[in-house]
Amino acid sequence: MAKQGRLGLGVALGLGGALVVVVMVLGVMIGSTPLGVKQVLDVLWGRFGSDVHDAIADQIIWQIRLPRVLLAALIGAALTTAGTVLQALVRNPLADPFILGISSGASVGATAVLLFGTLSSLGLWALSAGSVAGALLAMVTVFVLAVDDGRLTPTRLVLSGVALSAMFSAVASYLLFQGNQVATSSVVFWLLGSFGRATWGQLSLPAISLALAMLYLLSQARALNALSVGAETATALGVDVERLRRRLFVVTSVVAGVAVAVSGVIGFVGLVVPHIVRLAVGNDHRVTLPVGLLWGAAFMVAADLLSRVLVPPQEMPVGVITAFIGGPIFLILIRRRAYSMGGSA
Amino acid sequence: MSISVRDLSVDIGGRRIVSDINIEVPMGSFVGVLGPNGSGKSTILKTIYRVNRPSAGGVFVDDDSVHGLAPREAGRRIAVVSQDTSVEFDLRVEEMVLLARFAHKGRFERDRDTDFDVVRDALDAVGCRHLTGRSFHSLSGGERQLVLVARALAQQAGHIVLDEPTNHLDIRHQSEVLDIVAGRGLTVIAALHDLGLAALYCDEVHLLTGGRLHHSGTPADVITAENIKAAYGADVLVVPHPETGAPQIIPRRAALRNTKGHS
Repeated sequence: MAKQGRLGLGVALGLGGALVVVVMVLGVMIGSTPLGVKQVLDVLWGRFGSDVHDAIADQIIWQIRLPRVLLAALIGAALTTAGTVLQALVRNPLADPFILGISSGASVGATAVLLFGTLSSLGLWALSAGSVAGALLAMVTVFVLAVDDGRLTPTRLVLSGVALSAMFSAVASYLLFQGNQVATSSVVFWLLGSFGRATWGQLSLPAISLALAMLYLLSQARALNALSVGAETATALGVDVERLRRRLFVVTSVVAGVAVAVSGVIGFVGLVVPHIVRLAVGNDHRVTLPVGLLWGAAFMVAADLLSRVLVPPQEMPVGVITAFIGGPIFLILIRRRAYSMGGSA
Repeated sequence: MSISVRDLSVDIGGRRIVSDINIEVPMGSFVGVLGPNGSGKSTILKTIYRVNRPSAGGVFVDDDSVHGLAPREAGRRIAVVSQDTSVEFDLRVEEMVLLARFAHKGRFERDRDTDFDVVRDALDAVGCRHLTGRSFHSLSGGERQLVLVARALAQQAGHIVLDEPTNHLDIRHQSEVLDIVAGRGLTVIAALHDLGLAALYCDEVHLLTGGRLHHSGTPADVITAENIKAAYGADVLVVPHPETGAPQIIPRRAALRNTKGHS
C-alpha cells in the first residue's frame, strides 16, 4: 500500500518500535554515571530472576533511569496523540496543546489544586483532575473564541491560544510573586517541564489514560478522517460531528492534562511529531495515530536524553530542547502555509 | 426515493434566512433551486444535509424526517457535492473517495474488497480512475470536483444534494459534473448559479428571492425575462436552446437596451 514514497503501516511501526528501543536503551545507559550494555542487562536480569549483583547500578537503573525513560516515552506518545487529534479537530496542522494554550491551562489547574485543593491528599489523581479540568476549560475557551460564523478561523485559533497562554502564565507568575513555597516550586516545575522526578508510581495514570484514549480514537479513526476534511463534509458523510467534537474535547483534555500533571508543560512535541508522521505515512488516522505513539515516544526519550547530556553536570529542562526544535519548525510551517492563515480556509 | 421540503423556515444567528419553503423532489427527478446570491439556496440545501436545523417545518427523505434519522443512516440515504474543495490534510484520491464508506462501516471494521470495488466504480463513473494514487492536493479544480462527485456516488445513497457544485469550474467540467449525476436515475436537488445549465438539466426549478419561493415550475415556466428581472434585477434576453428548447439566458449591454427596444 506504500505509494508516493509513503511508508506503509508495518514499516512505520517497525521503524518506530526499533527507534523507541534504541533511544530507551541509550537513555538508560547514558548519564552522570555511564553504564555499559552488560551492566544494564545484568540489572534487568537480576530484577526478573536471580539475585542482584551490583546494588549501585541497580539503584541507578531501576529507581532513576528506567522510570524516567518510560515516563518520557509515555508523555511523548500522549502529547503526539493530543496534537494529532487537535489538528484534525480544528482542521489546522498548526494546532498543538501548547500553542493553543491547553497545556498552560492544565498547569494552572494543577497549581490551583496544589494551592487551594483539599484534594491534595489524593496526590497525582487530584493534580491530574485539576490539570484535566484546566485543559478542558482552555480548550473550550479557545474553540468558542475561534469560531466565526460556524467556522474555525485559523488566525483566531492561534491568536486565542497565544492570548490564553499569556493569561495563564500571568496567573503562574502571580503565584510566584506571592512567594508561596509550594506554588513556587510547582510553578517552576510546570513552566519548564521535566522528567527529573519520575517514579514508577507516576507511570500508571498516563499509561491507562493514553491506552483508553487510543482505543476510543482508533474506533473513531474513520470519523476523524472525515472531520479533518471538513465539518460539513463529515456531517454529509454521516458523522455525528457535534458528539464527536465533544468527546474529542474530553479525550484530548484528559491525555494532555494528565501529561502536564506528571511532567509539566513541554511544548511543540504535539506539533513536530505529528507533522513528521503525516509527511511519512499520510493523513489516514488509522495509520497516523498508532505510528505517532511510537515516533512520539522515541522523540521525547531522545529529547530528554539530550537535556541530560548537553550541559553536564547540569540538566536542562526538556521543554527547552523541544522548543529549540519545535519553535523554528512552527515558524517554517507558518511561512509555508501563509496562504491559509489569513482567511477561513 | 424522494425528498420533500415542507413549510421550511431556517434561522441562523437569530435571523430568519428562509421562510415557508415547499419543494418536492419526486423519485428519479432532478430539481433545481435558483436565486441570486444570499437568497437562501445553500441554507435550504444545508438543512437537507443536516448542517442547519429547521426552525419550523422540516425536510423528509422517503417520508422520514432527516433530522430524526441517525447520522449514519442519513449518510446512507443522502450524499452531497458542495463547492468547497479545499483540503488542509492531503489525502490520496482513493482515500478521499473511501471516506464515503464511513456510513457503511462498523467501528473497527477494515476496508474490504467490496469497498475498494465501490471506490473504483465511482472513479470510473467520473472518468478519474487514472487519478487513484494521486494526491488530492495536486489536482486541478475540475479534477477535484469530479473526485468529490465520485465520493458522493461511492456513498451509494439514492438522493444527491448538489450545493453549487459547478462554481469555479470551467465550462467542460460544469456540464461533466451535471451529466454524471443526471444520468444515473438518482433523486437530485441542486442549487445552481448558472440558469442556462439549470434549464438544461432540471425537470423542475424553484426560484428564490429574499429567502422565499418566488416562482416554481418547469424551467420554461420559471426562467423568463420577467422573473429574472424580478429576482435578480437583471435585464436579460431569454431564447430557446437550439437542441432542446430549454430557456437560455443572454446578457445585454446597458448601452444597447434603449436603442434596440427589445422587451
